[in-house]
Amino acid sequence: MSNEVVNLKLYGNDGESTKPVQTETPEIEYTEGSYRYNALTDADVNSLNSAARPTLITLFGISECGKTTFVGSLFAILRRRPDLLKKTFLDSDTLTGFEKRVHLRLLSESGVSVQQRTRRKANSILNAVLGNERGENSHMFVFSDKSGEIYLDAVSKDNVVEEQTAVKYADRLVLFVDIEALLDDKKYMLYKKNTGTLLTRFKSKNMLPLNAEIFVAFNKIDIVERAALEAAKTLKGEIDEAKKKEFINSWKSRRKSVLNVIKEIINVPDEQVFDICSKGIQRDAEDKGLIELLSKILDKPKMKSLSSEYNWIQGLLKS
Amino acid sequence: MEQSNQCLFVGIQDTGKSSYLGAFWAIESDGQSGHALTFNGLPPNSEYLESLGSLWLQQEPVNRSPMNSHEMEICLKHRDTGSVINLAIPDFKGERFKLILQNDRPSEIDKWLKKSNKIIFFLPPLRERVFNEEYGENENQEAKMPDKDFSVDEIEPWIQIVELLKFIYEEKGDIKIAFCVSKWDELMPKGLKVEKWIEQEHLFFYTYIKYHYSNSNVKFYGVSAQGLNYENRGDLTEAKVSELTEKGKRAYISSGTDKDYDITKPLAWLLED
Repeated sequence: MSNEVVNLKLYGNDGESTKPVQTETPEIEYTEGSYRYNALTDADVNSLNSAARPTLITLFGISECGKTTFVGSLFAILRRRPDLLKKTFLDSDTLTGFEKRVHLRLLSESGVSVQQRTRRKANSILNAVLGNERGENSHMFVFSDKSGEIYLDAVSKDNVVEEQTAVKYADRLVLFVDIEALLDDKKYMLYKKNTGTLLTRFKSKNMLPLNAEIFVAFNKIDIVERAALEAAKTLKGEIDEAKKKEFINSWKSRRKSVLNVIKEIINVPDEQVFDICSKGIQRDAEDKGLIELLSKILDKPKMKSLSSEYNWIQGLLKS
Repeated sequence: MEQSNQCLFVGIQDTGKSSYLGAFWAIESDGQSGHALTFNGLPPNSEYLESLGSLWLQQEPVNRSPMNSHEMEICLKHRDTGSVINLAIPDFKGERFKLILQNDRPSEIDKWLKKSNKIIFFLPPLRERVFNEEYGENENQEAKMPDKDFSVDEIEPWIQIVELLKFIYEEKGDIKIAFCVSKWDELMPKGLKVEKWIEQEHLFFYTYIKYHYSNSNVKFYGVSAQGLNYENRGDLTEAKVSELTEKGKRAYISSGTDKDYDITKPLAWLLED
């Protein structure tokens, strides 16, 4: 099996490697650190060796929506229980990149407040080589896990949108929606508006992927029941069932509303919309939505003809 | 021409390398053990090995050695076949190997790795760090609090091990490796074969090996160099341990629940064709 270098074409539109454009937002000092198996940059991805074109999965969502938690859970499941996904985890060139995300999550678990705003500059490309349950038919999956702050910047800036080539060339795009924001009466409308504006801006700059499979993950589903109970508590500490029902209906209505905003801009089949708890990895009680979503995005893609835009076989074309 | 056997001694920090060497020196340096391998001439400077061996004999942890470690090479010979294996020890404390994970290439490790065609790789008897959500917080009490700043020390040890193995694979390909899980005396009560324990507790590491290395090039051993946990001796009083040491029945290797007191055997296996 040959190990030709494949080009996922995560360069800028002119086909050349582009340096990130300086945004107006003051950049906080961030040191990536030097690690052999760190996360990669968009440009680095072309150094990945793979026998076949990898599948690019881009995680998309404004800050605090749970992408880092999701990646940490993904890594934990791949390492310890890949059978849940009918996979084997064979290799990765970015193990330290995964560990950094695990580290952030462990800090969060232990109650240490972490300044996530420093991560704008962090390298965002991770990869995993997965086989089937018997370790055969290996395939490389590449994940783009950019900081949520970048997507927040992109709500109002075309130049930030235009840098997001991992969105444009994604094979699978996972849009994360933060349920916590939807449940917050003050934050809900702004969140809905930002979601719409963000996607509209991407569409207007032709930065939405043309042929990708699109998934929507409403994340933190575990808090809906808790929040409903809290909202329905009477002064005596009892649960007002009518109030609880009202809360749940309100949540469902907001969910539908945000999903409609998304579907106005980008086509998402209903079977690719999931309610998940990205932390839901308790043994024998794993979150069904999370496992189902992971199974779908890590499904080995069927071979399809490539768009000429991809140009991923430059080496072969030259010969 | 017979290919020379150059074995590299590998392991991150706290994986029992020094304990093994201390036991090895104490048991084998006089050439009287009758074990598979014996010294083919003593190293020109064995001061550090002597200090490790002395601590082992006195039932003291080897990390109490006041001496600084240094790279060394020891030459061993198979008693029956006469085959020779050179064991290169570039990094007693595992700190040099850590530099590899930080994208550095310490020149001594580079030098030894280029020469080596065998590896003896030491592994810690640790469970993996897991998220609280996986097992519930109460079951995860042993997890240490992460440091606020990320550093190579925050990389989970078993991920460090895979990264080190990955580096070796990228340099040397499908090379013969003897994996030795240290402090096997503490894990033996589980009643598992060493390989099974690794598969159950460290699935990704195990899968990585199975995917990248041929079966004939890999073997798993449990190693108990100290023979006991000094801080939790149970029935093994100092007198009892002294007696076991004298009888040559203290340090051992194991495939699971057995005990083989010839701790040279992982290296002897590496010598086999």
